[in-house]
Amino acid sequence: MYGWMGKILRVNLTNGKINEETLDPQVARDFVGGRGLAIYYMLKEVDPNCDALGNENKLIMTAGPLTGTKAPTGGRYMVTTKSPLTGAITCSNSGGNFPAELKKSGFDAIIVEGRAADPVYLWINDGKAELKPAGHLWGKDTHETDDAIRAETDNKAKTALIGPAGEKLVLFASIMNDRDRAAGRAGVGAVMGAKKLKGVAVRGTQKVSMANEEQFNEMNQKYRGRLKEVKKAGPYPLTTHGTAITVVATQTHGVFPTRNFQTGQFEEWEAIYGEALTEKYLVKAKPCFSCPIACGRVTKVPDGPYKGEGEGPEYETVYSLGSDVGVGDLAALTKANYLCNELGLDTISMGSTIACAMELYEKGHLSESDIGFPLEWGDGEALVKLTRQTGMREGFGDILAEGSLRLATRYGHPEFAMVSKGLDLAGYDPRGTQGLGLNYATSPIGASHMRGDLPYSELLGVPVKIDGQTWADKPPIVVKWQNVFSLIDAAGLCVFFSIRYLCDPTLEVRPEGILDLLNAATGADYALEELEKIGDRILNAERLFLQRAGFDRRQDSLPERFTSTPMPDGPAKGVVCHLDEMLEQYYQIRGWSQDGLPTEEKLNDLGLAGM
Amino acid sequence: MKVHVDLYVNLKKYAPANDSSFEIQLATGATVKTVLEVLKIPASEKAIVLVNGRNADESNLLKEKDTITLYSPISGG
Repeated sequence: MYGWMGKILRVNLTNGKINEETLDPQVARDFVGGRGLAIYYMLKEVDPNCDALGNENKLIMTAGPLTGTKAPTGGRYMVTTKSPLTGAITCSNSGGNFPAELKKSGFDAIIVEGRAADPVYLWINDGKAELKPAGHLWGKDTHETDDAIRAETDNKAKTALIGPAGEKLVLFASIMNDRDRAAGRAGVGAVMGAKKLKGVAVRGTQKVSMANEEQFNEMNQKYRGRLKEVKKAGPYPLTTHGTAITVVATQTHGVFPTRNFQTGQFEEWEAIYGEALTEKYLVKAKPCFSCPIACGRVTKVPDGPYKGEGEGPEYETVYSLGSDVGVGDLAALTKANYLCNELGLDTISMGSTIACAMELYEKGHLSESDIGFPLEWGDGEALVKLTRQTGMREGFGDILAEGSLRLATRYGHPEFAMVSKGLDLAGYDPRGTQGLGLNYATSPIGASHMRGDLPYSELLGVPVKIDGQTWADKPPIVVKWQNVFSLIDAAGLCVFFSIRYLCDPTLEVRPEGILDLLNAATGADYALEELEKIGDRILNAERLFLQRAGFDRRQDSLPERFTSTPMPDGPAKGVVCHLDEMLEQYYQIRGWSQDGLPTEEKLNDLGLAGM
Repeated sequence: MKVHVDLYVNLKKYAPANDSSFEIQLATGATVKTVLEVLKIPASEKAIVLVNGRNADESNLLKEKDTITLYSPISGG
C-alpha cells in the first residue's frame, strides 16, 4: 500500500499476546485512517455499554495516511476509546513527533485490549513490538517516565504515556506524547491507567511510500506556498505568539469565558494573552512534525513561587486555568499548565472543574471545611495547589478528579458544571458563538471545539468572517465543518493549517487540498464528493456508537446558563444560545430523526447499515 | 464625532502614536472605510473589523462613542 503502512498492531494485555494484522484496503479507503479507522474498530469490536475502565474497553491509537509524510502538518494521531468521564465515544488528537514515529515504525494503528496484571509499557522498535515491565515507572511523572523509557530503549524513541493522574484514574487524565503534547480530552489517560499500561515508546526509520512522489512534492509545495504568501505580508500571529493570541478575538467579542462562564470579558485579559506570554516567558516557538506554523510554546518562568519550565500555555489553557477561574497571574496559570503536563491532566477539564468548585464556593454550596482552604476567584496559589492535589488524588483533589459534572451533582447543583455530554466546554461562550454552541451540543465526544471549530469564522475571520451571534444561518455550516474536521482528523493533518490552506476559502470548506495530497500519497484516486462523504460517514459512525450507548437528542444539550440566561454584559449582552431551534434544522440536514438518531436510509447511504 | 479605536496584533503599527488604543475625531457620516483610510490600513491586511464587538464591514456608518476593533486574521485556538 501507499500512504498507509498496511499493518495494525494488536496488543492483548491480559494474555500478553501481540499480533500483526493486515489493514483491509477497502476499510482504509472508506475510513481513511486516524479518527475514521478508530471508529470502524470501535463499532466492530467494543460494546458501547461496556465499563470504560473495564477489560472490555479498548484503547486505539491511529495515524492517518498523511501522518509521517512531508505533507504540511502531517504529524497527527488520534487516541480513541470509550470515555470514563462521559460514557460516550472519545477521540483525542495530538501532534508532536510520536505520531510520525509510530507510522514509521511500520503501523497505521495500535489496538490495545484487556488489562495487564502488573504495569507494563509497549516498546515498538521498527516493527518489532514487545511488552516490558513498568512497575519501576509507576508513580513517576510524564517527564521522568519519558527519560527512563528512552534510557532503557533508545534515546531517539518517542513516547506517549501517562503520569500519576492516569494511573490513579483521574477521569480527565491525558496521554502525553513527546513530554508536553497531549491527547487530552475525556479521560483517555485513565483508560490507559486502568489497563496498567504506562505508555508506548516507538522508534521507526521506515519511509511512508508515496504512490506518486513527484505529484506529492508538487502538491506539498503548492499548499505550503499559500502559507508562505501570507507570511510575506507580515508576522504570522500563531507563529509569533502561539494560540494564546486568540484571546484578542474572544475578549473583544465578549465570549472569553470568565469565572465559570458567568460573563464573557475578563478585566485582566491583557496580562495573560499571547503577547504577554511572548514578552515574559517565551523561550522559543516549537513545531510539531512537518509543521510550517510552529504554534507550540517552549516557556520558562524564571523566578518566583511559580518558577519552572516546560511548554504552554495554549489558548484553551489561558481560558481554563486563567479567565475561567479569574486568575490574571500568568506565572500561576503557566505553573498549573506545567503541572497538568507532568501529572498527565487535561488542562481544559482541570480548569473548568476548579471554576465549577469556585462558583459552588461563591454561592455557598461548598465550604472552606470541604476544601481545606478558601477558594476565591483569582487565587493562583489555590489553582496550583488543587491542580497538584487532583493529579495525585489527594485531599479535595480526589473529588475534583471525578470532573465538574460529578462535583456539581455531589453538592446539589449540576447546573454549575459547564459541560455537554459530561465534557467541559472549550474557551468560547456559545451565546456569542452560536455555531460553536450547536457544535458543542452535537459533537460526538461532548463539548469539544475541535469537532467543527466555528470560531475560526465566527471570531477569527478564517476563511471569512461571519457574525457569531446569528443562529439561523449556522446549522448547514456546522454540518459541513463537522464533516471536514472528521476528514482532517482521519487524514493525519492539523486543523490549524488544513482549514485555512487545504480547503477552499469559503464557508463550504471543500477539502480540495486534502484531496490532492491524499491522492498523490495513496493513489486511491478519491473524488472530492467521496472524501466529503467519508467525513459524513465518520461522524455518523460515531453517532451510531453513541446511540447504542443510549445517547439521543436529550444529551445534545448545553447548560441552562447558555440557553436561558442572557449574557449579562459586553458585546453579547442580552443574547442566549438558540440551540433548540438550530437542532431541528441540524437533524434535518444530517438525515437524522428529530430524536437525533441516524435514519436507516442515511446509514444505508453511508454504508454503515449492519455495522 | 469622536470614536474609539483599538488596534491589535499586526495592526498596532498603524496607530498614530504609541498607544494602540486611542480616540479619533471624524466627520458625521464617517464609516469604517473612513477609519481604515485615516489610519492608512491597506486592504492587503485583510483586517477583521468589529464595531462595538459586532461584525462590521467598510460601509458601516459610525456614530459618537462607537468602539472600532481591528485585528489580523488568526488561524487557530
